[in-house]
Amino acid sequence: MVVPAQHSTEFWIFMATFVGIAVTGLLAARWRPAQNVHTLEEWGLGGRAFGNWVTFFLLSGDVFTAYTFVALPTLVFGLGGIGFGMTYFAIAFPMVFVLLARFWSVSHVHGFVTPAEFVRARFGSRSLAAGIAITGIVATMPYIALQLVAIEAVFTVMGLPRGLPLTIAFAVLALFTFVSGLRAPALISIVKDALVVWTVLTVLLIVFTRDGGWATVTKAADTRFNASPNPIDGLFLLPDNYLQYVTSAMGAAVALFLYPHTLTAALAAKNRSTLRRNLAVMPLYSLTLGILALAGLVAILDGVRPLDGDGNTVLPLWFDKAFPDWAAALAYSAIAVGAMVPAAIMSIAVANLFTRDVYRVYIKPDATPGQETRVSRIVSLGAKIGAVLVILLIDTQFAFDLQLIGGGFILQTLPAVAFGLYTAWFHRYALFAGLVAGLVTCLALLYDVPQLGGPDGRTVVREHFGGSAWPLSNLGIDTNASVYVGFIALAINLIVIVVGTPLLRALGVKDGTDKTDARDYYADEGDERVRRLTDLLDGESESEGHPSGQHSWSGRATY
Amino acid sequence: MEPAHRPRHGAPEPYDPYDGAGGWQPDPAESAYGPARTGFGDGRVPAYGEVIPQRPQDAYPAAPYPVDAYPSGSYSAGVAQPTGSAYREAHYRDGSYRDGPSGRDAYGGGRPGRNRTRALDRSKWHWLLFVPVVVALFPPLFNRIEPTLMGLPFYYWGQLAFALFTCVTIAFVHVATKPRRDG
Repeated sequence: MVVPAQHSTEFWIFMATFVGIAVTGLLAARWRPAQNVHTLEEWGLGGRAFGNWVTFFLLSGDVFTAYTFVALPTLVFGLGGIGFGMTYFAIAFPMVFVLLARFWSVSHVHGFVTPAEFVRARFGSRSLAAGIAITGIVATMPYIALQLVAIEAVFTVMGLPRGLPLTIAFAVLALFTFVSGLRAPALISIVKDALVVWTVLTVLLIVFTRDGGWATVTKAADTRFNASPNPIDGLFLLPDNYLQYVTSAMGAAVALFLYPHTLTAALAAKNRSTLRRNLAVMPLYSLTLGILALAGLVAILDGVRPLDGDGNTVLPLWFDKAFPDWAAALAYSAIAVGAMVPAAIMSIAVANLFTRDVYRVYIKPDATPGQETRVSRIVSLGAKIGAVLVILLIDTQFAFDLQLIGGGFILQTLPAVAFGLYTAWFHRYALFAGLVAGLVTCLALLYDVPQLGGPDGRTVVREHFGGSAWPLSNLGIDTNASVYVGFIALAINLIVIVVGTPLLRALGVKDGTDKTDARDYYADEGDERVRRLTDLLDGESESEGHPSGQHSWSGRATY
Repeated sequence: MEPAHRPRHGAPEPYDPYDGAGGWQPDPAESAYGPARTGFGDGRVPAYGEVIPQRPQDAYPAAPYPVDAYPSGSYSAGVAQPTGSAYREAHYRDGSYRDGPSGRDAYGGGRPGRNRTRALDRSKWHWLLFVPVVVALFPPLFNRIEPTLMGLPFYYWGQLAFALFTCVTIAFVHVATKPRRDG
């Protein structure tokens, strides 16, 4: 490999961090080793034993992905205020705080590893669960590819060639995920957070030591946005964009809870209080993202021009320009490591969904825990190879399109997964019909959205999959406002469910059996209901236990 | 405290609201999630909207026993409901109190101080969580320049400060609703 001449310092520091990460990831398997490594709960959930700090690092590494770190500054750089979506976290975390705690409890009692397993138990439908699982897989796969896009942006700025470095990076990632499972991203996320905090402090230091501070920055940005004929950009939101801004934020916030990788990281917490405590402080972490997004404004002042028209290079380019070499190298590492952590968790989540909701239900119902783990490992490998192939062979744009669709798709699992935590009123087939209706609507509407671009922002650059804003004028309303597509699809989804449920009952179509108990949603580690896990593990009180306790530890209930 | 007509946990015989007449019986050999049951107590699937007559001992008071006081979901407070609740009622009758062979309630029921923790996310403090959400849904509230902080318009620094506020709110709710463990 040729070391890029003008970036050699950055390259070597980056490489050193990378090797350190690789070794850490591989050794993670030895961290708090379990007695029986070959169960899915060990490989895929780290033994459900992560305490306070690890849970914080894992969740933050999972929620705040490298792609967001790269894409948000790009958005702010390009469009200004509408890209600065911090309110999203104010909507997301209060909601997630309540929902995830319930999800953790019910999963802990029943040994669920995936949201689809919960749906299967709650609504008694294998096909609905498989639908949820497949939706989750389809939505998460492009997200993995986007993490690659983030690493690629860093490599581009460092002057590295396209194919090989990316392949090596993901080969290392695949290797340590295969070996260590969820323990690898958990350990690495500690390094990631240290690097991210360092980067953010550097950004602040640089802006504050400049003449004029933020005032000059916002002035320069305002001048540029005023000069551009694009009607959407601007330092602030335009009233026409309020609806789009709010619905996108809500959609993204809800999706945050529904994405399988968030749930995977949450289930790895050792008890309910740990999870709740960590979710409570999680909004603090969004400050790092906010400050990096502001770096997008600083990049305007510094006259950064995206490399090869790739908008994602804005932040790395600005690091290169404004930071000393060694600090830029650490910032690059933060992005690269920040991409590996969520990519690992996402591939594990995808693998778990496939294993628990497709493989064990439709292919091999009597699979042993060892077989489950093997299948999961192979699928997680496949998920990453798929992501690399999409980026290298097809097109980065294809990954963006898929991600756009995936974000709307995952929203369609809301009724079953999130509302399901509160009620079993929905009829299983109504849920299924709603899911299908939502997915189809989402796809159809997204297909219809053209990408606008050009200097005035009104020229059609691409016919289809150009964005997620659906103009309300399509309904015949005379307005410039638009709504997030996923939201419309969700509305149709809900209508189908609400109409379908009483209809199916009236027709006498049988309901599924709800195998959860209201108390499951509150259970915590110390409770008797869950404590039996430990009892059973120690081989003590098999006969004394609550019947539902018997399968809890092994997670091998036959749903 | 326990309602008098609720069987004491730890009573020698397993709780059997149906007097042995076809209701689900705890079977140590069978996993609670074993063979699929219709889930409807006496094996009869009620039509939607049908109310299965209640025997007096089936009707638990909704309060003050906190475990029973769940708002919604598959299982409602045990009091017979006037209309349209057969579905939920049936779920409730699906042995929602699946006391194991040991006869112990899964939560060590009856022990003072424990049941209180059950209604964790029923606490009124949780309404506070709506405050950050609602504010975030009204962009006109923060879409402004003044007051600026170190030259940064309110739109930007306000949203960052708002993240802090969200954090404080959730942390407060967490602390206020934390289960208090005995001992």
